[in-house]
Formats: sequence, structure tokens, C-alpha cells
Amino acid sequence: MTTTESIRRAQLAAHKHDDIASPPAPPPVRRKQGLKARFRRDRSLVLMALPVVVLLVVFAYIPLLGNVVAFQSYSPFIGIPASPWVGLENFARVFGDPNFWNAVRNTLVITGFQLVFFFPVPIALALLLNSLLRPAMRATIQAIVYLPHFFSWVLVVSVFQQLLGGAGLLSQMLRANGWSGMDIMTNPDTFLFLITSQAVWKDAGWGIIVFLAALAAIDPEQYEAAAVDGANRWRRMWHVTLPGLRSVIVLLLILRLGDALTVGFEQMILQRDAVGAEAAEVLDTFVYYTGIQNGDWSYAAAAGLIKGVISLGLILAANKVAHLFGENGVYSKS
Amino acid sequence: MPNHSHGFNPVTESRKPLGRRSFLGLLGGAAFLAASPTLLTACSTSASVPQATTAGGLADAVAKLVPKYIPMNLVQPDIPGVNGSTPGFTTIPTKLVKSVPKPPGSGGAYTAMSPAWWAIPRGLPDNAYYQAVNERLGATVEFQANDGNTYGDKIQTVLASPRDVPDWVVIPSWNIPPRFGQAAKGLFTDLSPYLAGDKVEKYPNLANIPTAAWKYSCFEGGLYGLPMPTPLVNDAFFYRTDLFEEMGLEQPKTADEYIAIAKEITDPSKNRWGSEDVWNGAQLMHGVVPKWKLVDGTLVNKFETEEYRAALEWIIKLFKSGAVHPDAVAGNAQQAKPRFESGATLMTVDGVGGWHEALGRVLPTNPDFNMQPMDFFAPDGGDPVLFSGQPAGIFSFIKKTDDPARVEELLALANFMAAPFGTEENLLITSGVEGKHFERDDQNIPQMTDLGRAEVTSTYQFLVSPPTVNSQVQYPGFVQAKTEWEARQAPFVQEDVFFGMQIQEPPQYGSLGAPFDDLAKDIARGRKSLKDLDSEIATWKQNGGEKLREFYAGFLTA
Repeated sequence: MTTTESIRRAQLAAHKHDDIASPPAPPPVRRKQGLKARFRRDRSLVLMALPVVVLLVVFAYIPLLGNVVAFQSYSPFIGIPASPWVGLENFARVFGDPNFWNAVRNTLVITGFQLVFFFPVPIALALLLNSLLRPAMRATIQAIVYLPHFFSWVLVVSVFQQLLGGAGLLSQMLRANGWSGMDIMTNPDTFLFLITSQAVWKDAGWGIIVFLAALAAIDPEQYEAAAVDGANRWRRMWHVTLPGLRSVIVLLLILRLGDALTVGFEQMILQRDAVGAEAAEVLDTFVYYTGIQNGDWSYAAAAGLIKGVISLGLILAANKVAHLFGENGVYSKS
Repeated sequence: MPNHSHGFNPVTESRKPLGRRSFLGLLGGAAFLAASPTLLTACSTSASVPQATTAGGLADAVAKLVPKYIPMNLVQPDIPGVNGSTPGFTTIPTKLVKSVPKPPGSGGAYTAMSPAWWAIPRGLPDNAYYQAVNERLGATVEFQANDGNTYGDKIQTVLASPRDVPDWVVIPSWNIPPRFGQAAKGLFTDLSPYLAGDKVEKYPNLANIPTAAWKYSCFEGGLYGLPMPTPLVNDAFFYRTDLFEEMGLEQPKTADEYIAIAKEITDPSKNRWGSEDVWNGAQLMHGVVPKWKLVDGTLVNKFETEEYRAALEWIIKLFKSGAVHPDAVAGNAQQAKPRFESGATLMTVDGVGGWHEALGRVLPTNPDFNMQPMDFFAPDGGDPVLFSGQPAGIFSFIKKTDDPARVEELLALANFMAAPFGTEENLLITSGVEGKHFERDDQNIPQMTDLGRAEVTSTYQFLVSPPTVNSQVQYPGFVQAKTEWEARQAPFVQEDVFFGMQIQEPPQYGSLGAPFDDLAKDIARGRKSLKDLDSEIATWKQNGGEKLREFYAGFLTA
């Protein structure tokens, strides 16, 4: 999902809760209309959506067919038609591979940890920024916190290595003061904290954009009304701000769950040797190593396909949960 | 010359290239598949004769494919080779021979893909060196240079997409992907119809390349590769001689001494550590075989040998001593050369070709810089056990074409590039244009200019090279030091059981050894123990190791 799209959704969502000021909802679509009539009505919308649909078909749906290699003993040098079919053999191998399960475990642990310790950070940051009154100050801080988003992972990891590595600034300072140095970058036990703090440093600032947009859409009159009723800052945040953000939070949470099995490929691969595969192998790096490095394409495709299926399941389940809570979620049946 | 220990490097910019590639390959749809040469060969693969599975079969097949060896002795080396070691030239002959009388090309234009273990040079339009060579070639060769550290991944994806394969592709031996036999047959030209036996006489500089290098370039029953011959000893421990002298130290002579000296050097407050990650060197020091060892008629895999275990035990001690640079511990191999060159580490392992490259980089800014290879030693200080490097280290392949004239033109260009030391062509390839890329000093020795340092690389030599010699006379004392060092090591060099045989493993076993890469890293860093080696070996056996052993046993000469 693109950022503009999320902002638009956020605004829409914020709007929905804005009961007082919102204009009357559009009249419900009459289901009786024929296809032709509906097309005539939505012509311009369909036209506008077409380029994206074409892109999706060409770059997402057609390539999906390539997943057939997961059922073959595929060799890129003889092509898909000539590669022998092996049925589910690759899947059997994947399920029997302890390295695969290690990758799954790492992926889930990292996702779970970051859901708790990374996901709320942009929300908190956005609330903090929102409470700043001077616009110049707010803009400056915002620019500073989202600049790291534009650094590549190679750079981010290098910066952390220079600061926290065994030959880095921290260790040198400790040694200069008579302590022994410490190497945070090569400790598999604290790896989870390390990568999460890297992710926070790099991307938390970027993540606040959506929430700031949603915050801006909350009607100030609600705050005034709440203040008149005697609500203090905390109560206003609890009863006005957070409900205003709820649908955006739920939406991003669902999307995050759909992405749950994708955890920073570059970040992991850059630090894999530092802490070892046991701590840093995730599904994406597993697929990469077996596929590209070892040339076992079918095996990697099978692992990738399993990942895709689980991700789909997660997103469907999360959406269902969102509906139970009365939210729109990513989509809903009309 | 690349550092072998850098052959494997996971750092990459691309994101999930597997999906992207295979997907895009399919994207072209039926049209692409039908047009692809791979499909055509695919039909014939099953019917064609598979690769020989016995030593005799392989030797017979290969003997028919390779060119006749017609040595060319233009210049007598100042320091001759001993026991197969590389000869050295300490001076440049005043009169150079012109080995290719007229431009060999006929105006063709070709793309060539090549690894670069240095800053990617400017492209053809802005590169006077490329332009000058092209002019002498009478053809246009346009290089696509790629980061050598991730070249293996690049090769995997390029070969998987036949349309993207350039006309001429360099593949280092350690980047040859699994199932390469199929790729060679489908994508590249079998050169034996052009070069086998006497046919090579048309290309005298190619005929000057030793037969062993050609034999090693045969894949799937065809001569597909043009070789870059390698020296007898490919890798070495290096130490910063200048800084060692300053500290009153000498090169270590036993395995324990190495660790002791490394520890002595290490002083984090001065940002100085004893050693890089020398896992590759640890194996050399302990006499680990390249792949298989023959013990009482049975093949023992490298991973099963006592030597491999001993090398692991040693590397554990080295890492534990704290003398390995923390960034190296963190797996940052790309900065290994800069660390060593700046004095942040004082001992390292590199390909011997990395020596003069380092001198070229560092001497202009640090004239006192001195690195020397250590004389190899057995762990206990006795005579080392060294295994000969394979006869060719890097290959290049010519894309399949229906037009024999193109192949002949490319071979004529290769003949130019393979011109040996003492020819005008060789000087152009190795040093560029006089007055532009290099100037001769008062001893007639070519000294690189700034432009030369920026533009002249080993790129052409990766396509094909004459027999290896030491001739980098511009670095004072270098040729003598290197030639003598190699001559001192030569008596200890032996050939392993499958030396010089280009054996293509069945694809299902292609990645069988891969887990050991991770395991060695884990064990060195104390994350796993030698017990895990036992279980990994058991897994290896179970997953096809025994089958692989049988497969290789077929190549044993009775």
C-alpha cells in the first residue's frame, strides 16, 4: 500500500468517526442496477483504476504462475516446460528441514517482538509531536525523525557497527575509561533488541506520517466539547484522540500481519554472519540462500509458497477480527 | 586477482531476487520460452550422451577436445620457476614483440560481463583504456563490470534468463553454479570445433596456454571455457612486514605462535588487532584437502577429515583470543582489505594476486607500506602440506550463436588478450597506453599515472590469460619476493586426488556442502561446538553424501 493511499484511508476513517460534522452518508447503492448501467456510472473510476490493475496483473498475477516450479525439479537452464515434475516432494523436504523451522521460528519471534515494541512507537511519536504547539518546532523534529528512513540498510548497519561494534565508538570510550569493551553487534542473545532498535531508528519517524494525518482530521470541536465537560488532557486523549485513530491503527495492524512473515531481508542478510544463522535466519533469507546461492530453485519456491499461504491466512483472519470489532478492515463485503 | 575467501558473500542490494527473476522470466510468456535456446536444447538433453562418470571416460573425452600445446618462449625469465612455481621477470625487455600483426577483429561489437574486486571503472564512452584496447582489437568489447563479492548471485540470475546473457561471460571457478553443465550446453559455445588439436595453430597465443588449464575448462563433453591459468599456490597468509619490524616481531612459525603474536599485536586502544578472519588460511595451514582425500582406497570428504576438525579447533582458539578484528567477527569481509591496508589488522589471508593490487592502492599514499606472504608451516612448525591450485581459476564463456564468424572473431580477440609477457599486446592489456596510463621511469619501468590507476584493471585478463608470470616490475623488489616465496613453497605442494579434473556434481548434491559454511562461522565464533560438526556430517551423509562419495569414486583411477 502506498503512503498516499494510507493517508487517504486514514482521513476517510477519521471522517467516519466524526459524527457531528460529517455530511449525510451517500445513499446506499441500489443492487438492482444492471452491469451496463453500473459501468456507465463508474466509467471514469474504472478508467482511473485500469493502469494499476494492468500493473498488478503483469507484475503480480502473471508471475504467480511461476510458482509451478515448486512442484518441479526446476532448472532455469532448461526452463519450466522441460523441468521434471516431482509433485509435493519439495514441500516434503521443506517440512522435514530443521533449518526451515528455525527460519520460521525466528521470523515469528521477530514479528511478535516488533509488533509489541515497534508498532506502537510511531503512534506514541505522533501523539507527542501533535502536542507540540509551535509548528516550526514540529516540522523540524518531524524532518529529523524521518530522515533515517532514506538511508539504505547497508548504511544503517554500518552506522550501528561504527557505534556499537567491538571497534566502535562505545567500546573505545569504555576502554579509554578503563572498562572493557563490549561488542553488541555480534551477540545473538540481544540480536532481537538490536534489530528492533535499528528498525525504530530507521523507520519509526516515517511511520508517524499516517497517524499525523489521521490526527489532523480529528475535529477540534470535539476537544473543545470534551474540555467544556471537564475532561483533562489524558481523558481527552483517551476519549477523543485514540478513538479517532482506532480505525487507522486497526488497518495498519492488519496490513502488518499480512506482512508478518516478511521481516527486513536486507537487515537480516547484512548481519547474518555477525550473529549466525541460528539467530538471524528468517524465511526470506532462507529462500534466498537455498534458491540463489545454492541454486535449489524449486526448494526455495516451495518455501516461498508456504510463506505466501500462511501470510494470506493471517491477513484474512486479522480482517475477520477487525469486522468483529466493528471496523472496516482492509476490505469488507458490501 | 580475487580473494577466494571473498567468494561467498551474502551482502546484496537486491530484494528477494528469486521471486522477481523466475517471475519475470515467465512474464515474457510463451513467446520468450519458444524463442529461448534453452528450450531447444532441453529436448535434446535427455537424448544426448551424459557427462563421463569415470576417470578414464573423462580423460578420454577431454583429450579429444583440448588444443595442442605449442609453447612460446619469447623472453627468458630472470628468475626461472622451480617445481612448477611461477617464473619472474624483474625487468621489462627493451624491445617488445608484436605477436598479433594486425587488428584481429573485424568490427564486431560485443558485451562482456566481468567481476570487479575494486571500484567499478568508468564505462566505455569515458574510458580511454577500454577505447585504446578496442582500437587495437579492431572490435568493440563493452564490459559490464559487477561487484566481485556478490558475483555468484549475479551469475545465478543472469544465467537463469537467457536473453540477458552477454556475448562473453566471465565466471570464476568458485562461482560456477549447480547444474552448470545444462547451462553450458544451452547457453554457451563449445569451442572444441574451433580449437581442438591442430586447429589452435590459428591462435598462437591461445596455443601457448598449458593443456591442463584447457582440460579443466571442459564441461559436459565440450570445451566451453577460455581459461585464466593460476599459479601453483593461490592463497597465502600475509603480514604487515613494516609494522612487524617496528614492533620487533617476526612472522609466526607454528599455529600457536600465530595466535600468540596476534594477541601481542592486539591493542584496541590503538585501534589495532592481530588478525582478520583467516578461516580460509586455517584450512591451508592444517593441510585440509580441496574436496576429497583418499585414505586406504576410500574417499573421505573434506568435512570428515581430521585436518578439517583441527583447523576448526585452531580457529576457535584464535577467535577466543580476542585478536580478530571485531568487524571481521561481525562478518564484514568486504572491509578486510582496507582494514589490513590501514594497519587496523596486521595479519590476513588473501589470494596471491591481491598482493600487487594492494601495493598499487597503498604505495602512492604510504610509501613505507610493506606486506609479505608468510612461508607456510604445519601447525606444529614442521613442513606444510599444500595442495596445488586448480590449473585454471577463472573461465570465460562465449554465448551460443549460429554465426561461426562471430565465434572466430571472439577467439581472435582472445588470442590478442592472451599475448604473453614481452609482447606489445600484453603491455597494453596490463598497463594501458604509454604516456597516458603509464610513463617509463629512467630504468625503463612503466609507472602508472593517476589515469592508469583509475582505468586499468585486470578485466581483460579474466576473459583469458597467458600462463601466469610475475612481472609487476613497477613495485621495487616485488617480483623477486613473490617468485622466491612461491619457489620456497613449491616443494611442499602436492596434487589432490581429483586435481585438474572438471567434475560436475549431480545437481541434487550441489548444495550438500553449503551448511558447513554457516557451521564453520558459528563454530569459530563460539556459537556452536565441534559436536555440531558431528551431527552435520551425519546429516550430510544421510542427505546424499554417501551417494556423492560413490559418484566421485567412479572417477578414481583404478
